[in-house]
Amino acid sequence: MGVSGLLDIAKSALFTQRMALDVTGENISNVNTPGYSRQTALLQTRTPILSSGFPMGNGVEVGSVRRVYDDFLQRQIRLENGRYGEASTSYSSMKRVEQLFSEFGTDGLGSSVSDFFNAWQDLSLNPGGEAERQTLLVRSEALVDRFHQTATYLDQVRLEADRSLQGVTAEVNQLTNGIATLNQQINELEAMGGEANEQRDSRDSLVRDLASKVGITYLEQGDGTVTVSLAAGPNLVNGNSAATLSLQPNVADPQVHDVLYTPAGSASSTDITSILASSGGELAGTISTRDTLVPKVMAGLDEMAYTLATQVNTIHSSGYGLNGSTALPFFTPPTAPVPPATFTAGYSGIGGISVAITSTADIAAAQSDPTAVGGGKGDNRNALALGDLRNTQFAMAGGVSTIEGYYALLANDVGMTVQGLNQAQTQSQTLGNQLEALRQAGSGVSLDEEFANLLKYQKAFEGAAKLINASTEMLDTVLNMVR
Amino acid sequence: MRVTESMTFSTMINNMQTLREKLAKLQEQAATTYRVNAPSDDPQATLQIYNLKGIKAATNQYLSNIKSGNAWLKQAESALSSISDVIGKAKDAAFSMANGSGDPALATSMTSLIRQLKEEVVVLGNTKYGDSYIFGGYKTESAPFSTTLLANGSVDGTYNGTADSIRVEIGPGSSSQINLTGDSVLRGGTPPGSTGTDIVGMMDNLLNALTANDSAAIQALLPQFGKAMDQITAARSEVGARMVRLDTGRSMQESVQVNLTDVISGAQDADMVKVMTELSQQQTVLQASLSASAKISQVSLLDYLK
Repeated sequence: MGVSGLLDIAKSALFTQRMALDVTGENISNVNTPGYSRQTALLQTRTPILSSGFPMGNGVEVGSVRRVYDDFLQRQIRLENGRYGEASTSYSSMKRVEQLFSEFGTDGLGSSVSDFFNAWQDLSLNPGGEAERQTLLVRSEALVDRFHQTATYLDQVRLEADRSLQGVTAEVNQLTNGIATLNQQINELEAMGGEANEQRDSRDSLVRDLASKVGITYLEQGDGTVTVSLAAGPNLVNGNSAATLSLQPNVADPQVHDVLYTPAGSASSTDITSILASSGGELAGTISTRDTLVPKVMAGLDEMAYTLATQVNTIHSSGYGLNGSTALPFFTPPTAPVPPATFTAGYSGIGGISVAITSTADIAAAQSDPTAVGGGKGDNRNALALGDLRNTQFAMAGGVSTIEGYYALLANDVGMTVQGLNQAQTQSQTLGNQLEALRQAGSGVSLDEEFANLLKYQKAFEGAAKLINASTEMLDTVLNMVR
Repeated sequence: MRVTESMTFSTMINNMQTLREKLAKLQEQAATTYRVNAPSDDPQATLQIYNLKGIKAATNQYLSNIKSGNAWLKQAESALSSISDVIGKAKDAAFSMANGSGDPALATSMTSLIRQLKEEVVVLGNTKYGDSYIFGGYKTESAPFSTTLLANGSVDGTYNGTADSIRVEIGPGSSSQINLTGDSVLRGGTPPGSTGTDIVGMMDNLLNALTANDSAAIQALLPQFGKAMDQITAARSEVGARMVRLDTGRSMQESVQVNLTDVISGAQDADMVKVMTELSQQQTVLQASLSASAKISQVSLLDYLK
């Protein structure tokens, strides 16, 4: 082994330390890159050679550039992302629904119902009074308006959830395509013996984003690609191909959409809305808001309107107006519910409940005809009975309750839903933060550490340069010998 | 455990977020003075508050019903007291004529007095509260006693109202009658005199006896005046009893109202002392956290490298 051998070792050291410096540089520059896993250059000795019968060291080389990565942690982070996505999506929708039932500082549907019953009692004090009758009509219109506003707003929340499906499915498609592309790149790079660290990091962060949109399971294959499938369903990404999600108007309710799944390279698609609803992630949150949470509140509201209207109508139509009119419903009668339903869906909305009485004389405050012999305008028995309806308990789906009490139950139910969602959201967020901190602890870049490495490799680089100096001097010495 | 920069920063941001969230909640409570500002703040309290608010609205209505009922009864009471005066005057007149000389001139002047007194009784029977005739039963829209003039020049006084009682609700499921019907008060039932003294008929009889100057007939009528007075007194005490009932109802509803206000406030209102204390505590914590974070991020190996 000659002087040039030393030069060769020095050269390997120079290259290797510079490469390690490059890795350090990459780490420092990506200190704030989300999802970046720090990399380390693993140095190893080069294969020794036999020199003069002795195995002699042959310098250093970079064995591999490894990224520090914990797959188990990543799985948990994805899971929490999915939970957070689901809870936070539902939470933000239901928080808006909750406002409708918030009557602490302001008046709402609850006080409108109270006003309505109070107006009947006022009428019982002066059943012939035009002012009282007018007030009752105004109060009733206000009550109906409240029902309509609440129902319309609920429907808006439901439809907005549906509209957001468009964006979420588009994002999912983009993410799955991205993952498929990266799968291809990683596969090609690693087949050539390279390290696809950056691509793997990018893919991880895409998978994480995807997990917050829709619940997935994830399996890494031997060839470096990942197979991503719905938590409870078909594959989304398989190798370098990705399935497509698309929307199609629902047959029964064209205002909302079903989510269709089209496998890669196929023309036929299947409806996976119900699978998505139980998969987790933003999609599940959106679908459950649209199909379960909001409709439940709506059903409660419909039942409240239905019960109020049918009960008021029964008593009202048994009474007599000032002009002797009778058998008139006070509210537009709901269409008969189709069994097993016990109330008419959509009755609280526009086109449902409304005040059927237009003339104040038609309001039936009396139980016997005021225009007939033996009757009079002072007959207030029907008005009393209607005013007293507020104390009557009715069996409804949400429990046996008065009308006003049922509203309180509805608000309680919405409140509990929002509270539950908020807790789920906070919990998964806290857990997610902790897991992310754990991930950062292992995979995150520590600048202090990198600076120390920088110094270390810099010094080693200087040492290698010194070696070259020394060997150059040695070569000079040798060359000068023959002068 | 390795501690990295982004870990420090994200923990810092998360903690700050949590603190700010708590601060926002406290600020909301301080601004609204309510502990519960949305149903999700406390669903159980929401249920309670809304139920109580419904009951409170009903209670306010009961109180207003009672007020109205009281006004009816007061009006009835003042009418009855006037009727009692009128009957007293008629009784005095009858007394003097029964024991009198039978002077025709006097009889004529007495006739016109009694005619007037009868009219007064009938007009008082047609007393109104607001737009409603209070002695007409359900027939509140028209005068219950006919004021058409008869052949003898006095008003008719036929009862055209109904015998129904008007009730108002003074509590959940509890109602109280607020009227007396004119037929039982002034006509002794339907047909007149069937259940009590027919006061209008009695005045009519007196009028006829005076016209005929028949002192024996007048004498025979005298005991009826005592009964008539008793009937009005009984009616007045009935009104009084109903007013007492309304009053009891009122004080009950008022105490319910006070209680409800108390309970609602207990469930809904924030403890302002606690809120303010916690608010300043949280602000201090946030400041401490901010300044600590600022210091942490200043320390780096970079400072010591040349």
